[in-house]
Amino acid sequence: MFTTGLLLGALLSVAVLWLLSGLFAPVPAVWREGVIVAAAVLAVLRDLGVLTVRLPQNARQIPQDVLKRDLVRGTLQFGFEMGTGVRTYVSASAPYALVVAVLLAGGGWAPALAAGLGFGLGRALTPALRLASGAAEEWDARLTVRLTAMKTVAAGAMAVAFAVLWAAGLS
Amino acid sequence: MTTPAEARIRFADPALPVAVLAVAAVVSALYAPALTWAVTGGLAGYALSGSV
Repeated sequence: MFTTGLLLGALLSVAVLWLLSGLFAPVPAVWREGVIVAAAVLAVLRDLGVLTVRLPQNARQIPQDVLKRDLVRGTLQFGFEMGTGVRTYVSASAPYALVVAVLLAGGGWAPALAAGLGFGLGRALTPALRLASGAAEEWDARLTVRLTAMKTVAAGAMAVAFAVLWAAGLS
Repeated sequence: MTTPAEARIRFADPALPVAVLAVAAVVSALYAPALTWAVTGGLAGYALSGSV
């Protein structure tokens, strides 16, 4: 239920982004592609602490009450709110780079759909892996130590992937 | 000697998905562009591991 909620929330967000992406269609592709790569590079710099830019986020945690009312519906709602990416803290810059990419990529709906599914599954991976470790507290401690590097590598890989993608003219 | 519990923790290391997805993002950009969107989406989603 939690993963279903994550996927539904992520799909709603990318659907909105994809609809809004039409507004940027008149902008030449070369400009849009350049901005997508630049946004991912800026995300790397922000996660490294080189750049201090405040970006919009819903600075709150999803209330635990949603789980108390009805466990199944609550779990679905909890996942949905997390999946949208706009109902709780955004502690990394990579999601902002993804938003810029989906907004500016243009083209059909398939890339946005793929990005949304990937985002939802990526979020689902955290609790799944934590559970799989069999040692949640140690897993949390390792995450705390590695989080900055993880966020930076994630944004860096996005920057390289987007640069490769469009340098190869494959978009 | 690594115990099964230690091996399990290492196998489920929080950094492992980032490494796998980072390589997958670049490889997919080169050979399977359509997949790049799903992989970069996964990276963005997993990067929020510290956020509940």
